[in-house]
Amino acid sequence: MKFKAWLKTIIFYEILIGMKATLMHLLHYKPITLQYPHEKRILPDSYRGMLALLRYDDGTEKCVGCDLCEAACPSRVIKVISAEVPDEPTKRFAKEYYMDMTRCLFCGLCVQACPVDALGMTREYEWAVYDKRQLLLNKGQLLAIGDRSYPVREKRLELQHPNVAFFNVAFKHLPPKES
Amino acid sequence: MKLEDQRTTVYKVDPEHPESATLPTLRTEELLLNMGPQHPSTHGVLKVILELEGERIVKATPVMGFLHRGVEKLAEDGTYHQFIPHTDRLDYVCAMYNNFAYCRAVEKLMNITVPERAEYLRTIVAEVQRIIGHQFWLGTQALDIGAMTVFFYTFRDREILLDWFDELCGARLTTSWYRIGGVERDFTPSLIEKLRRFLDYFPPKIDEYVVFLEKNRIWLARTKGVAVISAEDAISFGLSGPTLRGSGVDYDLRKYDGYAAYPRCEFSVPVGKNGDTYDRYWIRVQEMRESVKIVRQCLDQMPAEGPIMADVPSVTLPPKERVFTNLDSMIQQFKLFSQGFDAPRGEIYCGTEAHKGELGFYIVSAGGGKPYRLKIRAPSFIHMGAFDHMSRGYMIADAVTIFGTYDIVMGECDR
Repeated sequence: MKFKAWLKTIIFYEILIGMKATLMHLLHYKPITLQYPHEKRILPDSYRGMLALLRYDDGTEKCVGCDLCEAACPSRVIKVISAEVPDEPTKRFAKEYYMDMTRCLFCGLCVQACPVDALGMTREYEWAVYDKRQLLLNKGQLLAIGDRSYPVREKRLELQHPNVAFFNVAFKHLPPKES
Repeated sequence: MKLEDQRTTVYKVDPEHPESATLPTLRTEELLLNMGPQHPSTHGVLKVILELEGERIVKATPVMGFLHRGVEKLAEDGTYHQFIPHTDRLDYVCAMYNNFAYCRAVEKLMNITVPERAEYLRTIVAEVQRIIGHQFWLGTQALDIGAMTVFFYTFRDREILLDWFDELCGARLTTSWYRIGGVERDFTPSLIEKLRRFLDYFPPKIDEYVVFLEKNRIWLARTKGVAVISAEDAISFGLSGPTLRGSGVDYDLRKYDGYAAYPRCEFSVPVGKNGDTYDRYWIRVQEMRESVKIVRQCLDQMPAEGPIMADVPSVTLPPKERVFTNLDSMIQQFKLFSQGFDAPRGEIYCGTEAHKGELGFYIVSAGGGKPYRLKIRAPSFIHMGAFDHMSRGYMIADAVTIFGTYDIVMGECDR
């Protein structure tokens, strides 16, 4: 018994079994790394990436300028200035909409808060820029992100009052995000 | 003051050997060494001022606060819901546990009972997070001590679970999945299937990690008998989690507080004997195996259908489909997101057994939608208090082992 322990000491037995475990991986060699800029991960539908403003299928913006996203945001990313739609005093919309993406935590609380589902999170994540000011996004830029990430848009129901059109749209029938 | 008086220690003349008086007097004093804040083994930005006598540590003074972001103050600024994403950034390798501990504290304050299915979901995800935390710890601890291969293997398996989190909640590390009164999203069948596949895949992999360490004489020499702390000292320093259980104290909040679905699962709490680094390593490896058991039991026992959010309209967020279809829910949504809920006056402490120790949230409420004061009992911070006691008499290289054995993350330590 003592001889065995002595033999194990001088032949570096524990190093040998460690090397065996490592070398066994050569037999069924399967790399798990991704060569990032050349190959990219397939992101799940629920991915919380870049924020976007969405439109209805007829091209009108969903946002009603209610400011709830601004109130829900934990780091004060969003700034909304709402106004009445010209000719229609019962309707409101976001005249200006700013997002300071340098502060964003990507927590998704604004998306959860939005009562008309006007905000969405896309699968875009490559937003490194050279100038910090390029990350202060306005309404047009956010709508453009939504246009390219959500090609399938929700139908707008014209039979009802436009401000309550969303009442009939069940959440489950939302089209899935396109990659 | 003369230069001669500034000498701290002077060799005394031995009365039995008077000839030593003729030798030149030697000035000896402890060497002060700054370790960190850029040292790679400090897991963030921690500076320790070591007083050395040769290679031995005489005194160690941790200097903390390099990663201070004022999270506790931020909590006073927003509503209770708004603080959930900030808790992700406390211990950034295990965000789910911070969410869990915070939500549990607020639920205790508001006296909310979480539905059964949500309790199971929470337990499963918390245990998955515990596996991730222990894998991360094992990899980095072995890397600090000098074994590189284990790091690659643990991170390979950790990646599978992080991708699982990605599918569950949309983010790998900053998850924000827990909500006050429940959880944000339910499991999909594909998530459950992936988790079951992982549970079959993982236990053999733990044996693979252990092959590199358990018998390796370098690992044994670096961990056995290093940073020994007795049970009495561990209790008086307020240690918790594997650091406490390594000293032989059988204390686990999952067993003795019995929150979430833990009372309905059968699992054992591994307890060490010697209170050294090796015992704490052994406990963490055993806890990974126990976590696999807990997740498997929860998946079997979990009710197939049921609400994932408590229905307390004044506190919990309504489900999104009800917001679109029901005016009351819409008003509730507006009220909760703009003002928060009205918490009763009082104070509450709620501790949760995270993978490194007891993570507690102490909330003082003066009424209204915001906490008056929120204090985080971060296990890393409490453990750093025992650093001086545990590192005295050991080598400089052992200081690295001792940081690692607490599993410190500076984001949580400095808050």
